[in-house]
Amino acid sequence: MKIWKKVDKTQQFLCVIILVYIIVVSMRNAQFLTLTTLFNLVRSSAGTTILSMGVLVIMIAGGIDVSFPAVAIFGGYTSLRICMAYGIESLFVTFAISILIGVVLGVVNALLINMLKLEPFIITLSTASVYFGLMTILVGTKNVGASDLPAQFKMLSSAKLITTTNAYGGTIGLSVFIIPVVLCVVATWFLLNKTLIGKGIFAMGCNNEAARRAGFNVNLLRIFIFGYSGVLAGIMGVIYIAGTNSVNPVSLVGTEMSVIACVVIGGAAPQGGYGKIFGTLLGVILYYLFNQTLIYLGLSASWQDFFMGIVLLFSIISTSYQRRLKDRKNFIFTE
Amino acid sequence: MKKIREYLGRDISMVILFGFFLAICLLMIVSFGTNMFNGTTLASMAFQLSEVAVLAFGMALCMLLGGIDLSIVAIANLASLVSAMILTGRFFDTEKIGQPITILAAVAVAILLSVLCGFINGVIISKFSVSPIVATLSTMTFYSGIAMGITGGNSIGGYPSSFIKFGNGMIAGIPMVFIVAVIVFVVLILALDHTKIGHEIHYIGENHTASRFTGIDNEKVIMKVYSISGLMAGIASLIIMARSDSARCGYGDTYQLQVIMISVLGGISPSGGKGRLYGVFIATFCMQLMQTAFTLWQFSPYSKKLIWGMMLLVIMLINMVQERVAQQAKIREMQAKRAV
Repeated sequence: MKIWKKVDKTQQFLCVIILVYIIVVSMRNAQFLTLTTLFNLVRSSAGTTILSMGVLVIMIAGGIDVSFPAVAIFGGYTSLRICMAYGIESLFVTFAISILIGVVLGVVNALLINMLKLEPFIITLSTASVYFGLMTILVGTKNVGASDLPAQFKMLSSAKLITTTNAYGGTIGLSVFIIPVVLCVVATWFLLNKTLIGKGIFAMGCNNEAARRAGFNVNLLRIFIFGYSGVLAGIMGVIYIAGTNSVNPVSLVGTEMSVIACVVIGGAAPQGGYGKIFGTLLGVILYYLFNQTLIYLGLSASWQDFFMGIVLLFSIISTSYQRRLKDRKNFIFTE
Repeated sequence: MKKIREYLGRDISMVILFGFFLAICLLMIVSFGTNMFNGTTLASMAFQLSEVAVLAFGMALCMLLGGIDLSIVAIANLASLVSAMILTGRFFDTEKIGQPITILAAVAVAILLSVLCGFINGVIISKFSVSPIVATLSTMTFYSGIAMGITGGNSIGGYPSSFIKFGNGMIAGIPMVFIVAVIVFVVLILALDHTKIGHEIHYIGENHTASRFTGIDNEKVIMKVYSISGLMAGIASLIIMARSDSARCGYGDTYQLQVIMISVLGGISPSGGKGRLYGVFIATFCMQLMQTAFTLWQFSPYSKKLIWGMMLLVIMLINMVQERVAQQAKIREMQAKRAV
């Protein structure tokens, strides 16, 4: 029970919801509690998990970013087209190109926010359409089918880390997507909890001015944070293309709200200064549970947003209300 | 001359907006000739402009308050879907009740539902202290989730003929929907300038702590404003339905960016407090002119998106430079006074 006391209330609440949901679904349908479901869940949630780490870091620093899907598809798609044009089959180069593009675009975001001193939301909203428009003009919007994908994408898509046989004798396997996911989560945990930059990020989110006076270079920190989020978006872009196995470059844009929803459900404070990696992971798991298993309950997948909305509303209301009560005691009025 | 310069100095964002408007008009006249500004083109522009204008008013009010309403398009879609269900007889037999009452019921439900949705936004923001971006983001997910769930993503069409007539009919060459938009505009601008709540909105946007300590009930005002923003979404939903004869839960996804952009282009400061509503109306005209020009130039939707985004950035850059210049002028003035 030591671990249970260590996590905060939001995470306990999420754990309970997920457990109850799993019990209900597995009672309705015996096929749910199998390794296949778990492996599918890991594979399909890989991209969102990576993106959510970037959003978490930005949100802890008191900002918000809605341009990361555009950054991810810019990086991934450009790198795919370059690899196709020059016949590059190295996985390293593919990731390197994508990450490089991600970093550049992320840093541009941060520089604009530093310069214009406006709500990051509005700035990243406009850069999202700028990036996406730029990509369609520079690289194009041609669909790439599964057979035309370069070898490294095919390899990434089909490679398995562990394989076992299921009840029907078919082979199922854990996708290699788990490796970059674990790496990104660990890197983010290390960044937030074990480095001075991490302390700066938390300080910035709590009080920007106080962090500046404490000696943190806030503008530089912001460039670092958005650059880091760009790196993650770049990695995600490649994984996304490998995961869908054929690319329609228009498809990823519009998913930013669901990623932000996962992070907010996980208990990250939208005002900044607070956020937990474990909570964010729980948020992503819940999202994909709804996404993949509503069908077992006899509901169509179109109800996913509805259930996400309910959990999201409940989560933000409870966290913000506690904060409000605390603030009122100290005569801080936030609205 | 001095007066003009004084006026220009006071409201420079309006000057930029007018300049922008004239530049687009000139560019269009140069590339298409003057005959493109004939009655038919203007009327078709007025048709398209109305729904965006009404949505932009709602957004502008929230931005004046220092907030933002991301759920405005989702509310419009939800309201239009539910009232489309009534119009097409999902809930009761339309034949038995008769067309006028069915339409009346649909309109009433659309308005009430959207005001309720806006009110929920207001309660979450004011009573639970959730930041407007996150609050309206989650209600957006929730509302569009309901819309998606009840329809499964299908569109609902086939309304009574007299309802369609409202969307496509004209009075003296002016589209009826445009008249509705103008009425809404006039009512809002009068309310902002001449009522208590209009002034309170500006105070809260400028400094919410100060307004609280002057005795303004911030929470009440916030709830009212978000309800009004919901009402705008409801009116827009009726216009959309009547104009396009269909309701679909993904309709107008691009409106979100456009509406925010119109508000910023119209001189509403995203941090609240500053801005005039007539600027928003002019900005809507600018956008519609550009939209028409893009269609005539046959731009792809992606390059349109690029241009919208670039414009938003450039506008914010201009606003920043202008603000900095104004600040420096103020400092210089104070220094001059001190020297005397």
